[in-house]
Amino acid sequence: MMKKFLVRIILEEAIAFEEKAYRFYQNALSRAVMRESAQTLRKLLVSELAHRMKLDEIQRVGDLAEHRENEMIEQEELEEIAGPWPELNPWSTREEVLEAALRKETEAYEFYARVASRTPLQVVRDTFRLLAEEEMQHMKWIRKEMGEAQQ
Amino acid sequence: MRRTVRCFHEDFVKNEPYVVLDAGLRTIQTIEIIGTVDKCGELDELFHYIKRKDRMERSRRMTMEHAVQNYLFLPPIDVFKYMGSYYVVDGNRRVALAKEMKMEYMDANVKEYIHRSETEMLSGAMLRRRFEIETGLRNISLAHEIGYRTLLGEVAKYPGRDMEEKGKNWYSDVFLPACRQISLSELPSVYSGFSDGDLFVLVVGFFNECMGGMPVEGFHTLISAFMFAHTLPERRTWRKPPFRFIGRLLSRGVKKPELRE
Repeated sequence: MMKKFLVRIILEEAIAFEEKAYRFYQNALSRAVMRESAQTLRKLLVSELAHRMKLDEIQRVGDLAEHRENEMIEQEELEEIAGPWPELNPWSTREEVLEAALRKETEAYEFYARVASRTPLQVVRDTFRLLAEEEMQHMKWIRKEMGEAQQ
Repeated sequence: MRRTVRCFHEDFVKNEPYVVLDAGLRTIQTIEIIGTVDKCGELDELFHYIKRKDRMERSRRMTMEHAVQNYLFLPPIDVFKYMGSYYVVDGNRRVALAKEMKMEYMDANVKEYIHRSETEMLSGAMLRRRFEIETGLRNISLAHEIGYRTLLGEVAKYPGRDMEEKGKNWYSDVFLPACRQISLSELPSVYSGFSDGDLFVLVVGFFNECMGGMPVEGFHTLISAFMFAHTLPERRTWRKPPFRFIGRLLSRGVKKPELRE
C-alpha cells in the first residue's frame, strides 16, 4: 500500500518534470532566434507531452498491484530530476538552448534508466525503460543539431 | 399587451441571397424554438393562441396533453432553422405543450435557411449534412459545425466495412465514452457555449495537429494533456500540497540529524 502511494508520488514528480521540459521547449520554440531548429524543438516538445501522457496514464489506470520483493526506489533518485531548468533569455542563442536541452535530457535519461532498473513494479519499470530510450533518441537529435550548428 | 413569439417573415432578410438545405428529421432543443412562420401575432411567448379560447381549442389541447401523459409520442413538427433558431411551420400546439411540460427535446423536420454571405455557417451546414449522410449519425450536435470535418476524419479512420458501420462502432466505442469523460472534466466550465461534441473536436484536433493522430492513452489522459498544453487549471490529486511536500522531501533526500553526545 505504502509502495503504491510512493510510486504515485514519484510518477507525479516525473510528470512535473516532463511539464517543465515541455514549457522549456515551448519557450525556446517561441523565440525567433530558434527558427532554424524549430523542427527539432517541436519534436522534443511533442515527445515531452507524450511522456507526460504515458506517466499520467499509468498513474491513473496502471496496474500498480504487481509487487516484487525488491527495494523501493532510492530517495536520492529524484535529485536527478528536481534541479531547475536553465532560464532562457531573449538573447539565448540556438547553441545555448541546445546545450541546455542536452544537459537536461542526459539527466532525464540517467534518472529513467536507474529507476527502471530498481522499481519493484513491472508496469512502471517498462514505462521508465521506454522513456529512457526515448530520452536517448532526444540526445541523439540534439547532438546532431549541435553538429550541424557548428558546421 | 402580451408579448408574441418571433415572426420568421420579420426576422428573415429576404433581399439577401440565401440557400435552403433540407436537414431532414432530427431532434432539436425545445428552448431553441423561438418563433412561428405563419401564425405571426397570434401566439404568445409560450405558443398559446392569444385570441382563440373556444371549446374546440381547449379540446384539442386537452387531447394532446392526455396523449403525452399516456406516453404517446407526438408526431414530428415542421420547422425552419434560421441563424441558429427554429421557427414553427406546423406544430405550434405541440410546441406549446412541450414548453409547458418542460420537454427538453422534440423531433422535427428541419429546413435550414442560410444566407450566402454566411460562408462559415454554410460550409458548416454542408459538412454536417455530409457527415450525417455518410455515417448515418444524426444526433451529434455541434455549436461549431465546422467540426464535422474532424469527426468525419475520425470515423473514416475507425475500423469497419463501410462508413455506416464505422460510424456506428465509433459512436458507441469512442464518441460517447469520450463525451462522458469530457462532461466529468473541467473543460465544459472553461469553454462555455461549447457542447461536449465541440470539446471532443477541440481535443481531437489538437492531437491530430501536434501528434498526427490520436494517442493510445485513455481520453481522460488526453483531456489532462490538452489542459496542460493550453495552460488551463486542472485539479491533480497527487499534486496537492501534502503529496508535493512528500515528493519534495523524497527528491531532496532528507538527511538524518546527527546525534550529539
